[in-house]
Amino acid sequence: MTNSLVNKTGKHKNGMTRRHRKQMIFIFSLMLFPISQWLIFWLYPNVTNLVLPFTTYDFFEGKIVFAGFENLLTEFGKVFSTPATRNAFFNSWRALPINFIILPISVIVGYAFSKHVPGERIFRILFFIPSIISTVTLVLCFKYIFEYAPSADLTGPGAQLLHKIGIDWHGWNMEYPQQVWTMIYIYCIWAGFSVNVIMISSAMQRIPEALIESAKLDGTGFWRELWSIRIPLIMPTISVFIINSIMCVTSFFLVPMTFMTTKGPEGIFDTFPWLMLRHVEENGLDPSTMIAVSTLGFILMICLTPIIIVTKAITDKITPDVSF
Amino acid sequence: MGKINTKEQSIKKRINTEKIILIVLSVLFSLYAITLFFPMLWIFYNSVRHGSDFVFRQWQVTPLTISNYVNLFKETPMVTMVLNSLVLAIVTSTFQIFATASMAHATASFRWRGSSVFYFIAISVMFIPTSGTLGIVYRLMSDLNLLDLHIGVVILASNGMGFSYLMLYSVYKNISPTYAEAAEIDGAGYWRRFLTIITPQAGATLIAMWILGFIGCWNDYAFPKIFLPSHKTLAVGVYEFSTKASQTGGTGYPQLFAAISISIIPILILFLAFQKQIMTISVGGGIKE
Repeated sequence: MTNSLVNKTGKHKNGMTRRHRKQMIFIFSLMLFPISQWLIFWLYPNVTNLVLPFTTYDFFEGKIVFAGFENLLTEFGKVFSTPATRNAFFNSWRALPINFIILPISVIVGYAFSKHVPGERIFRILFFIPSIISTVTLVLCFKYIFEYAPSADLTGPGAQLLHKIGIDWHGWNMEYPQQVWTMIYIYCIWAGFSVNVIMISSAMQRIPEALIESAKLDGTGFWRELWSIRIPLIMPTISVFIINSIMCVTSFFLVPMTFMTTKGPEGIFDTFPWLMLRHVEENGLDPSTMIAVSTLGFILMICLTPIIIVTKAITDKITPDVSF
Repeated sequence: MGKINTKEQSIKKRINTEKIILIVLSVLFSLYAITLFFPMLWIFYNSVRHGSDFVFRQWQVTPLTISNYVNLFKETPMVTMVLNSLVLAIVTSTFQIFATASMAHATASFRWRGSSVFYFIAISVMFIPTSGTLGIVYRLMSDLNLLDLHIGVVILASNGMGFSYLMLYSVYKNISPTYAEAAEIDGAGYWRRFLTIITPQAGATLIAMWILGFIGCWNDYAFPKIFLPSHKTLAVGVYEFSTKASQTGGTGYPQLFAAISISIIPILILFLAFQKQIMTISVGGGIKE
């Protein structure tokens, strides 16, 4: 700092002390990388993403031009008119019921943990393991347990068990999509609730013991305590899980992709996020790919946003005004 | 007196019912835990068997072999894939921690106009739903000449915001300024105080977050697959092995199982070694400002 900018009290002409100025330079240098990263890789793509669905690529001019709602309406129309797009769109929503099955299971398991179920400490560690193993690896472990390929003399132990109990399991066979999807649901539930459990049980443990004790003295039983006391008091945590569950629709691709490896006839196992991934993998540098991917994402967001807003409003309304 | 006895009996009855329910749940949890481990043990066991034994003598005890592992390293670029995963996981998680700690320290430890705006920005990435930016980011990475470079994936993944930021923000907020003030009197500058006095006090959280970041990067499939196409990582490689194994008629599966085991074992060891710290971090919801 030059002397001309500093008065006798050490104050900068713009009112900053030398210490304050140094501090601001330090803060700026700390935030330089994270904020630049956010501006370039988060803000710019997301702002562009709001504009691109309303454009089209002019091959003759070689540039992206404004197209109003034309592109968006064409792509949205395909959801109803083209079987492959329709399947991809509706399969993305399969993530929703899966997560809504996982949530109550997580709450019950988390409640049992907060009640110190016998073996709680070891269960906490074991149940966490699915969340540290890659989805690809875990899906493959599950897949080969239930492998059934008579042509290759292969029947995994899970498939053998299913056949023993009388279930006509055909393996990961594209000719039986409903059976395969059911198995994918089972996998998602089997592997999906572990992280929720840890957070839910810790939220439950923060509830003051005096509150629980007084409820017990009033005759509250095991399940009543969960339903009437614990769940309402951990609603903020639960509402975060619910919103996250809805958001899963935008990233549901790796599980069906690893199980089936191809999208199947008429995209019977396809999802919108998987479709976007394939677009980018096949021709990522083509501007029309960029527009197509943005439009697919935009369609999903148009459908998701009202659901998120309504869900948030409902969970806020039923959440008591307390926090622990 | 009679009334009190009845109430005591009813409380005892409820306690007994609760115990029974918890024991039943414990049994169910044990069964679930078995289902978690069985597939991994089955995969590992079959990774040390001959292909023909796996197909034709599935339930018979047969000699074990490490040939699947040896062949895997001989016939496939396994070493390169492991190294790619390792380098990417170490560098990315370190960058992530540094970016997050910098952002958290800047907004939590100092009072300055605008800090709340940046706090809001940092947590907003968790709540603003986004979808469809993949094509734009791909094009951007290409324009910045970061496509197919390790450093590109590292920069893309090191945002220093979201949930990790929220965790570190509360940690930095609660660090007492006493030591830093003493160091300042001794002439230590801002960077020195940040790196040698303040950040070590957040050490346990930082280590746990680094490990979680490492695990996340090691397991990541999408980013390396799209943005690092010429440098396959283990997660991408295992996926590709799985598509090829199905064409071998079953005898090639044990080699695939060896690749799966290689991708699981380091993570399991890391988790078991640091499970206490990782679990504490994962409680997440328990941390409040």
